[in-house]
Amino acid sequence: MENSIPSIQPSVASKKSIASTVDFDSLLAQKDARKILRKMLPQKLYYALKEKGPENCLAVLDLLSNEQFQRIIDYDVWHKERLVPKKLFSWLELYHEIEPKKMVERFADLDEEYQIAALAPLLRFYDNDDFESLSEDKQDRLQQFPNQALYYEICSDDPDIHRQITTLLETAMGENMRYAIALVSHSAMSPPEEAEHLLQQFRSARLQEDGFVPFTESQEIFLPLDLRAKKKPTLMSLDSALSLDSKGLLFLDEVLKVGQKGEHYKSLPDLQTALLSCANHLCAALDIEPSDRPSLEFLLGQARSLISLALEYLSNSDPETGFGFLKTEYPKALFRFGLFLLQDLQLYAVKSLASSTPEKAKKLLDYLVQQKFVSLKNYIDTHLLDLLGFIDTQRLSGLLSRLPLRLKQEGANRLSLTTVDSLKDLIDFRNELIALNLKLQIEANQLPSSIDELKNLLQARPQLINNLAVFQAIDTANENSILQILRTL
Amino acid sequence: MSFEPLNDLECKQLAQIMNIKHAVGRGTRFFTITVNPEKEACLVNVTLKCDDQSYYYPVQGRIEIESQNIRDSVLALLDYIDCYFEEFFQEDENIYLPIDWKEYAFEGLQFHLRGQILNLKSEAAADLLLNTENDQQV
Repeated sequence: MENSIPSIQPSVASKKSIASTVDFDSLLAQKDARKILRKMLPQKLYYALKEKGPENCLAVLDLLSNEQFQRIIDYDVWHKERLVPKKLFSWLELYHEIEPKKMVERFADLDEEYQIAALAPLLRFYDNDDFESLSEDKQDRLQQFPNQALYYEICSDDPDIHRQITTLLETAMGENMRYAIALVSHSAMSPPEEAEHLLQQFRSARLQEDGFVPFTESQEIFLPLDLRAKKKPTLMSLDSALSLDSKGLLFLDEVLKVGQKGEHYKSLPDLQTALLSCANHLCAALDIEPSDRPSLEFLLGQARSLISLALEYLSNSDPETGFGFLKTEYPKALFRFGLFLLQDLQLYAVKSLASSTPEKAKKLLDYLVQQKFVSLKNYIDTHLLDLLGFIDTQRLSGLLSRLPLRLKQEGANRLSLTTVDSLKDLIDFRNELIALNLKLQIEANQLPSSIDELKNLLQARPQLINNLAVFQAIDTANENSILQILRTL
Repeated sequence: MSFEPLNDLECKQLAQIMNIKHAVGRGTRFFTITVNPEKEACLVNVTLKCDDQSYYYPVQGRIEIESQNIRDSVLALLDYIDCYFEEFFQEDENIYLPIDWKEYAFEGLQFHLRGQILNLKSEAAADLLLNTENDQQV
């Protein structure tokens, strides 16, 4: 049907970057810059620094509080739950550029576990007796503490780490020799990984305050709401929302406008922080590192979209009512509700396939139930492409993901996967799936025996007549019968 | 009187919830749920298994049909089995159910439970081996 395969572009739903509102230059020009800076959320500060480049923000780094710096380290210098000392030293080198002693001060102000965990794998410490017992080659590799019969060795082949640790220790020796000796000796004598293990627990507790909960706890965000709830939402009754003119804004933005009137905003909890916490929770659930900003931005966009969708549904598209919900419901609960609406659509899509390809539909449902989304995507790509065609395969693939996305056509040859962020989107998506179902039924020659059903469906949803898939299906089916029906509508 | 406390789709949805909830403990294994009404009772099966069925753990619950709220009773039984699996994973899979039916009570409900961990893959291989040997003897 298509002459060429259109390209599919991922589309980030987030309209605003989480760091884009921080103007460091203006901030530093203010008299109480230190005070203002120290009130900023560490996570927002961290992403703003990464966006601009920490090496370009030395003045900002100098003003950070110890807690803020430690939180930034918590986000940035870890990989898969392991400390990466080189990254920590890179941050400290920036302080050396501001003033050498500030490097030592920053390091000394970190938790003791951070100091030891960073150096323990990389240092060996020797007194005079140990030194004498070593070979000449080995002795040559050691560094001596000035005016002391004490030696240390940096155990790394990485020249950057050698330089960084040497700079740190020589600066420390210049500022406070006793501290330098204690640091090296404690680090070298510390049992392997003990400090890092303790540090992981403290770091984990701090990250949980931001919403980076443990993986086990994070999975709850994907749990649907109680299926036994008396009022189960039905997607087939949402046509009235088609009249809503969104003007390109999220419903959430309309709700926030209500909040800005009068004194309403005072009763609203800090939404930006709550949204970020929700996105952090998703990061934990999807095993994404806190330092992975592009992924966090994407998840923040997802969170905004699904919360907006939930609010629009719950409030029947009334911003005033929506504001009431926003005041009383946790963003995570709203997110779960929005996701629940899409999970309902996922089930509908799979059930639709069952009428034309029952075995493949069963396989899809099994993968969905088992939460095997990678296998699901592979199965769609390999087993349904011939049946559905490229576009519908991508449509299904986007829908049947852990965080469902909708395929949108932009122009003649461009498709994008975007979040579902409004009731109109949800209804359009549902109609696309109804049309796909119709198309499959027609291709399977099932419709001639259910012409009345088709007639009823098109009478109830006349917008389907304009759906391309229906016309494409008419090409292959009992054209006369269907055209006759369409003429009577 | 025929009835269906939970249809197939609802069973799959509940299994999906359990798969999400116990994502860490179950690893690559997954849950399936079936509900089979019998003459005087309803049989509920919650099975934790892996693809090749080398791990196959069916937890079976049996609840008597006494009144019209069999659906609520079946859902309460599923909740109980879900709680069991929560403890099962927390205790490193060291909490087992009896192999034979044993009576339990939960939220005013009486029911029976049993469960046994099996390795259907090995059993099938053993059966095949035994059948082959028998054929050879004949």
